[in-house]
Amino acid sequence: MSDDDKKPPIPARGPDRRRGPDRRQNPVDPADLPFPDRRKGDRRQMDRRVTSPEETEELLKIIKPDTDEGAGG
Amino acid sequence: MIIDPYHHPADTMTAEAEVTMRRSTFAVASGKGGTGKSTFAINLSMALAALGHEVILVDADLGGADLSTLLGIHAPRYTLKDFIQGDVSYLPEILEPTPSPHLRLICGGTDIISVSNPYYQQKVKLIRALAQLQADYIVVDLGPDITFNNLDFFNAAPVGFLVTQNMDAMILGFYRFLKAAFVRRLKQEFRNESYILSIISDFQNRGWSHARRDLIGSIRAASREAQKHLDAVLETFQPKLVFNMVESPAARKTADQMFSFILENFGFRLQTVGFIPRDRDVEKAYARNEPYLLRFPRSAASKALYEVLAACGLNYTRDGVRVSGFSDFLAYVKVEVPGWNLLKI
Ligand SMILES: Nc1ncnc2c1ncn2[C@@H]1O[C@H](COP(=O)(O)OP(=O)(O)OP(=O)(O)O)[C@@H](O)[C@H]1O
Ligand SMILES: [Mg+2]
Repeated sequence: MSDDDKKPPIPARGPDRRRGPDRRQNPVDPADLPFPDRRKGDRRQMDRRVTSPEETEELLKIIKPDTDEGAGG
Repeated sequence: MIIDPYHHPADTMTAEAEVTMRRSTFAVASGKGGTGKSTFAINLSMALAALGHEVILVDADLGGADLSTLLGIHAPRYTLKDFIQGDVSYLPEILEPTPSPHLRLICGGTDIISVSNPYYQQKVKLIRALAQLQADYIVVDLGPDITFNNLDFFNAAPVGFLVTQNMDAMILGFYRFLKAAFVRRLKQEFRNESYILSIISDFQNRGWSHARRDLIGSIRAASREAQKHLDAVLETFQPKLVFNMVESPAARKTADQMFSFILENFGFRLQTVGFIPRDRDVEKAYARNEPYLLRFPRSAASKALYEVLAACGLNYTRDGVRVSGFSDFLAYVKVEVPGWNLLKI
């Protein structure tokens, strides 16, 4: 294959002129929390909740017993 | 370089970083904004400096850095931005002096948005460089959000402080942060054991409420090695909880409840190391950009801070002399900063 047959590179972006390592590699997207496991492609794994509603409720009950002595809110 | 598109680079973060972090590095987190992390980080650093230790305070709240302002340094020469972007290659170059001869500051960079979300390599570079700093203690002030950044810095530091208030939203905030950090640590620790990883993923996917108590049990039951490994993790994962702006003794009860809840569900011990009262002196000092420990050394907050030091076994001078009580401690604080406005007290 000669050089002429080579497809031109995708022209949309020029070289990355910013300093440091090439930032287009390994982007870290905090919106992916928590712990996405993309290997399984499971949508639920993109769920951003760290706690379930039940768990939150359970925790609130513990720190705020029936009286108003517990944590205020 | 081939990049596996399915492997999230951030997942390997602590794997590389943990090797190099030093035992005397403290991270200060909260999972919720405005609980008093920065105030705590500054005054803890000042207290250690007063005892003669060489301390470096790092403003790693990359989105909302304010430690330089709070220490009265208005125009830092360099900030973390310069290091992260590569304009300064040697981290010690950006150390700023503070009013205390034993405390130096690494300022955060807030003037460009991209710094608040550094890329993986930049984070590794930063954590490595932090580990090489020459100091007795390094205190890292983190941002409030549950982001990879904050979780990774928290996990990379051998000692993690969580600053909370006895209010529902703050308790839930620190709990979420802590849980996210713990599970992230587990995933990192068991990164080469696909069976354990699947247990953890399953646990996450089924919803925490049903599977939560099974997580630790399932990992333990997987194999003897897994059990040993888990026990080692549980022994080293020892976050320290600080209740701040405390207004009633109910905080003690919350501390006990949280200890039991965490131990029962996750198997690690969440030690509460102190209760710092809501104190007007803290606000006044904050408004003047001065550490309350120096401005109002006899304040209730200063006393509570000393008790935190003692609870953490940090009440020793650099020469190894044990500080025997609050008044003994104050004697060190007074000689610490001759240039500070102590005379006005
Ligand atoms: N013990 C205390 N008593 C009274 N006020 C306090 C106390 N601790 C902190 N504050 C006040 O709370 C406010 C927030 O403190 P600080 O900036 O340390 O919080 P933070 O957790 O670092 O916030 P952020 O999440 O924005 O970084 C300040 O006005 C400070 O004066
Ligand atoms: Mg802060």
